[in-house]
Amino acid sequence: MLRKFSNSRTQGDNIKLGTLTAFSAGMVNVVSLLLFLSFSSNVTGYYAILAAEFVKGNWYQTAIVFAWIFLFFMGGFVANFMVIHFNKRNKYFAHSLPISLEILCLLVVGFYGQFYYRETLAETELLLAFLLFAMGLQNGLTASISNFAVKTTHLTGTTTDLGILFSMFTKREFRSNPVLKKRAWLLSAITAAYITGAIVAGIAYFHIGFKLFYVISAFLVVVIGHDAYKIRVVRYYWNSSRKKCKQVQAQDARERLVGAPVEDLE
Amino acid sequence: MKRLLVVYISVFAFILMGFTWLIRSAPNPERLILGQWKETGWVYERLNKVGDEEKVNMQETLRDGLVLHKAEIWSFLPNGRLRLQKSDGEEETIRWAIKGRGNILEIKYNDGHKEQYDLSQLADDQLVLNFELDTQVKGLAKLTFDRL
Repeated sequence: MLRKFSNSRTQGDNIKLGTLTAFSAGMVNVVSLLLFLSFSSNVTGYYAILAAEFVKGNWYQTAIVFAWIFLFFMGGFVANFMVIHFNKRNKYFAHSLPISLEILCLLVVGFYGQFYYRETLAETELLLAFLLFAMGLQNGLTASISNFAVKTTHLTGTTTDLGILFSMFTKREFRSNPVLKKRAWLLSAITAAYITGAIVAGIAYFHIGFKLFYVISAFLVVVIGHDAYKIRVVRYYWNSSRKKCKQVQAQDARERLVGAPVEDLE
Repeated sequence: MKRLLVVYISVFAFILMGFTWLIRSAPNPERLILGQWKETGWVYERLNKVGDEEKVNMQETLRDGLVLHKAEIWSFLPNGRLRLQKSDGEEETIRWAIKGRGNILEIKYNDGHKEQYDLSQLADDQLVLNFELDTQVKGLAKLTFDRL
């Protein structure tokens, strides 16, 4: 999911990454709406709100909305900065670092909310800022490593693309195009995962409240852990096959030494 | 590379300073709302279609049943306490919080029931709240308060 970059990614990699992160984004968005009465995973609406608040002369609200948009932007900036600067050293580390940072943000929100939150406006705005930054990180990372194929925190582009794809499928030549079919599957999977996450969060929120952020973090740990596990498995097989190969080579050399004709040894 | 770094840092610093200046100069809704407010108006701003008079009547009969209309004087106190004074002199202290970007007033009753109002206007002398009624009683109720 996280090890491969850009065009070397398979459809399976993108679907796994897309569904898991879209599921967590759907959860984050709904839980922030229920707790703080504001969205946290999409910023399109905030641009309109920014303009409306500016026109009305509500400078406090203008500043807050601007800060949220900027933090979403910063999330994308930081995620891609990490990917392009640490990629050559260790691809897995570069790709898992933004997700780790996102988990940290979600844990901060969950922990603070569970133990210290007194529902003041400053707290609400700060916790929302953490969530918007986290969502920016996630969207930046998934878009960056998938060559802009996977974007999971909002569904505006996804819905538009699905509309275009399904209209294309009214013609046989496009219906049989494997690239378009794959794209439609990916986008449908992301949409379904996002909605499922949102519904699950909507139900779970009434039972566990802020603890839901720990559950979302656990999902993201799966995203990181899946590849860490795969790397370990691959490394194990690699090492054991290298060991076997060396053993075979050593045995072969011994056999050649023992059974070789005298002139060969000379 | 150094020049680029300076440009990036300057832009981010400029944005941060702009935000700080804006947030410091603008009145904080949480402080602005503190004090006593007297309810002066109650209207339905929206109806589903022309000829919804029956619904208006229904709303008129229902409005006494709505918790939000029970009080005439709302006193927003620090630490999230809200004292509602009814016309018969009865008082009730509940909880309030401003959420979202400072645009939503959430009121929490002692039995755990919550109501959310859109803070349409919050000025020194006037407070306007909009309350979206549920699907059975469609319409947007607007409450206007004057500062006492």
